[in-house]
Amino acid sequence: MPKLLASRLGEDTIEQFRAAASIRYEDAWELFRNGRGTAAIYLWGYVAEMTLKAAWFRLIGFGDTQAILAKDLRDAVHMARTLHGIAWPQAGQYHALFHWARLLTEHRRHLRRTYADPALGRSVLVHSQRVYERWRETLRYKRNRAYRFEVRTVAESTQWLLTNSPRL
Amino acid sequence: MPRHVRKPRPATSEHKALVRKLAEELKSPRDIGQPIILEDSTPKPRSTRVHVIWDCWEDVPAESRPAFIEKAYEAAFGRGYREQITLALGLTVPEAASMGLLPFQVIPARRRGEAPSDEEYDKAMLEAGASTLADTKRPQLRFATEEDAQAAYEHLEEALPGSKWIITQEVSAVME
Repeated sequence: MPKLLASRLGEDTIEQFRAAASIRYEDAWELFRNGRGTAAIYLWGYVAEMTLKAAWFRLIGFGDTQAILAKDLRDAVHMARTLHGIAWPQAGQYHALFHWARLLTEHRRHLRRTYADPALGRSVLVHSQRVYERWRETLRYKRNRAYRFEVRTVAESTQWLLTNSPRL
Repeated sequence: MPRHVRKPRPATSEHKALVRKLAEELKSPRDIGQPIILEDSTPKPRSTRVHVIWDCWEDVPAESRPAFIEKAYEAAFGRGYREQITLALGLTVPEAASMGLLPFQVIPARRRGEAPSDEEYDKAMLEAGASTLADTKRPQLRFATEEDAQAAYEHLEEALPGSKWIITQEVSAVME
């Protein structure tokens, strides 16, 4: 008998994040086309999160298929708080996608690997913030409905992050 | 509105001595004791992520520890190696334990009234690099891997004849 879905889930890796980000991005558009804007935002937020996390682990040298473990996420948050002075939230900390964007840009500066185009760094922060202001992972438990302009904003910024993911 | 300016704190002579000490440890790592150095390297792209677990960090501001580690690596192995380091975390033993990095412990399995005494056990543990930061009266010997714990176990049996020890492993209860 084949394994059930939950048992077939592999470890998180950069490769997995990138692939899943593309799939969830399309899933979200399908929801949007069917009038489920809030659900679309819910998935787009994760697209942004996975894109930023993949960029972070790439920056610090993880291989594409290297397992990303809970301790690696904890290390990132610890580094953000201690070295970079980023006030990382405790609640939903691993989903704080604006803070992942800040960590990415700050740590690039620390490693002297800033973006060749400074505007790119600013755009990463702007688009991450735009998504984060309209998304939390806890959206799944809420019955609020997003305004159409909010859905458009999240769609645009997620698209920007995904399109630019190789450069992040 | 208040203005808070975060500035790096200048290194003291104690800090410089600590960097030198860490560089010596890197060049000649000991089999047992602190610091516990965990390195994770990938060949392509060439990069290394480092954890240095050491109770000496207690008096060092957290934001300064990565720079000290990087300097120690440069002193030990040269600038090229330092430039490979993409993540450097300095943690005390309790900090590392709370992050789930030291899940293995070697603890005394002494029976009441039997030799060696509690004091002798504590002395052996302290000489093996036990941490007393979490509890000054109860030294803790913690390890990242079962192999390291086993090595400490064998060392302690030899160092304190007649002593009994057990190795325990924590299942991570760290909040996600």
